[in-house]
This record gives sequence, C-alpha cells and structure tokens, in this order.
Amino acid sequence: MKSTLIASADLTLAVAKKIAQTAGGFRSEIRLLYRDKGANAKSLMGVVSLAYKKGAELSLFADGKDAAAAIRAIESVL
Amino acid sequence: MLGRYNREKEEKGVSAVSAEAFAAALSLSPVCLPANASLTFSTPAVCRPGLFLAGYEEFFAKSRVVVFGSAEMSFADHLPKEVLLERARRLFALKIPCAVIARGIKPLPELVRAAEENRIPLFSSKEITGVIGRKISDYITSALAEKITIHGVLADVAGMGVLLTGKSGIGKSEVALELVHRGHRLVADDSVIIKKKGEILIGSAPDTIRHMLEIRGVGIINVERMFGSVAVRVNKSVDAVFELSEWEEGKTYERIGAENLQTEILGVSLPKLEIPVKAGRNLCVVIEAAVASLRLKEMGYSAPAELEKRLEQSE
Repeated sequence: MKSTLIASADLTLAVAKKIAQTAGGFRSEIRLLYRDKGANAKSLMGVVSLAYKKGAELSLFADGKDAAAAIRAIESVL
Repeated sequence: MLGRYNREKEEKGVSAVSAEAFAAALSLSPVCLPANASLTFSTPAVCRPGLFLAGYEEFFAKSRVVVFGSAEMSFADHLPKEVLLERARRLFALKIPCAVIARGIKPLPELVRAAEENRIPLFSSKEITGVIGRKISDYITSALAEKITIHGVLADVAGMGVLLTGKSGIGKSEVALELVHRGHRLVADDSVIIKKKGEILIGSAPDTIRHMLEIRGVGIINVERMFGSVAVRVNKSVDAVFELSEWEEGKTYERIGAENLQTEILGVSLPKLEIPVKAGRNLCVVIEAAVASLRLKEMGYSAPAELEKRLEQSE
C-alpha cells in the first residue's frame, strides 16, 4: 500500500520518536520516503536521517496484513 | 534478497550538483558563476577544447566538462581577439556543463565574456591540467554512481566492511556498539547509503545521523564523542553481508561452513552469512570469527576441507 502526503510540521526528534513508535505497533513492513532518501519507519534513526521540513512531500509504503491501519495511524502523526 | 536490496534503487545516469558544491569539492575559484547555476553531468570524461578553438567542431563532446590547459590557453592567446571571442561563444553556446582553466592561468577576457553570455560556469584551478582532469572525473564518477539505501549497520571489522542486516529490534545497533567497544569501527547505523564505484561498493551514513546510535533503554549516543575518532570512519567498502535473524527451532543453520552463500547488491556479488540471534550467543565474537573465517577462505584455507582430509587419513 502506498500513500503520499505533505508533512504538517518539521521533523524533530519528538516527531521521529512518535513515527517510530507508531510504526513499531504494526506488524507490516513500513517505509517512509523523502526525496532520494528512504527509511524503515520503525527505526528512530532511520526516520531522523530523512531530515525533512514542514511542507515536504513524503511517501509512505506499507506491506503486510495491517498495512492500511498502519498507514492511517502514521498519517495522523505526520 | 536481490529484490529487497534493489527496491530503492535511485535514478542513475544524470546527476545535478550546484556549481558552488562542485567548486568547493575541487578547490576551484569561480571566474564566472551565474546565480543558482547547477551542473548536470552525464559522463565522467573531460575534454580539451584545442581542436574546437582551432576551428574544427566535428565530434566535439559537448556533454563533458571542458578543461583548458596551458596548450589551449597559449593557443587562444595567439588567436586574433575577434576569432577567439567568436569560437569561445560557439563553444559555450553548446551548453557544456562547465569549463575549468588549469594551472591558475589568467582567464582571457574573451573566454569570460562568452561564458557569461551563455551563463556557463567557468572556474580556475591551481592544479596542473592532468591532475585536475582526473579529479573532475573522479568527482563526477562519484556523483553519477548508482546508489541505494539499506536498513542495517556497516562496520569495519578488522579491515573487512561488514554490512549487518536484519529486522528492526533484532539488536543491530547493540552489536555495532559492542564491535566499537572491541576496537572495530562504525561507519553507519540504521541507514547505510551504498554507492557502486566500478565493481566495488562503498558504504557511508546519511549526514544527519552519522556516527549516532540509538540503544534501546539508553537513548541516542554519539559514538565518535564516546569512543573517539578511531572508533569511526566515514566510509568503507562493503565486503560481506551478515543477516541477523531470530533463532528458529527446527530451522537448519550453517553447521559446516563449506557452502559459499552469495548475495547481490547493485549487481555486485558478496559473500553472505545468516547468523541466528539467540540469548547467550555472543554475537560480536561470532561476527569476528565469521570475518576471520571469510578471510581464511579468501586466502585459500578451508577448515571443513582440512577436517575432511583428517578423516580420510585417520586409521
């Protein structure tokens, strides 16, 4: 499953932690992409490495049984 | 495995960098620098504009960076001014990526004017022509290199670049910390950017999180601050892939070590080991042993083969 969205806030450590924690609650494999960078959404440092700013265009990919719920949950954090 | 590594393959072929970044990386001084100039490269080759300046324009490779050496500059200086200006205009009108004058030779006003008119960056380098040409090629090769980002840890273990992969939470960062503690060096934790240079893969960390580790229960640590500059390195060739996985009862793991498992990253074949994680197994020591074993294999030694021989010779 794929979803494209616009970041509603700058990426801070707190936001990254929320993303990683939210993603960590799902079994699906979840990836977050920004420009030419990609990261495992369950990994705090991976998310931090994206270093995006408010308004950035992000892509979210989820693969697994709970993919749809995972995407909805992470969208609400971004 | 192959599919997983290549999924995030990024575009190759054309790469754009800002003129400022190009100048900074190669210590060039700008002679003509149009605002917001970005350089687009499609080939690492450079070319010398001698024939073009002499009036022969057939087969001119306009996609290459143009390097003026002393021969071209001296020839240009001998041309009547109006002829030089006309040819320089024709050269820069081809929309070459940029031009560089070597040896710190004073740029001729006609060249500068033609570059400015066509909004093509023109730089000056203190280096001799051959050297700056090679450096430009190396820089573009790197900018054009195919690359992917892989979720894992890259460490220099006794000189071998080991990429540790495995699920989130399997303990890759903890292993990285332990490896550093035992004198090995961390290159990247979590996201490893791998570039292909020739048939060699070079791994590094994304700038933002370079040399930082997240250790569950502790938080984020800066490995370089904590263990010193000898505990880290900026990049390292990727020589082997060790996949960490949860120990599964009933699953068959490598017992003898006579098989040669391989994996592929960006088309480059690498030895691969699957290392099961189980409480009570000291992973770091297992990884060191795996590295030593791979090295012995490369040197032509095989412990299973020797054991086989001993069995044959036994009475």
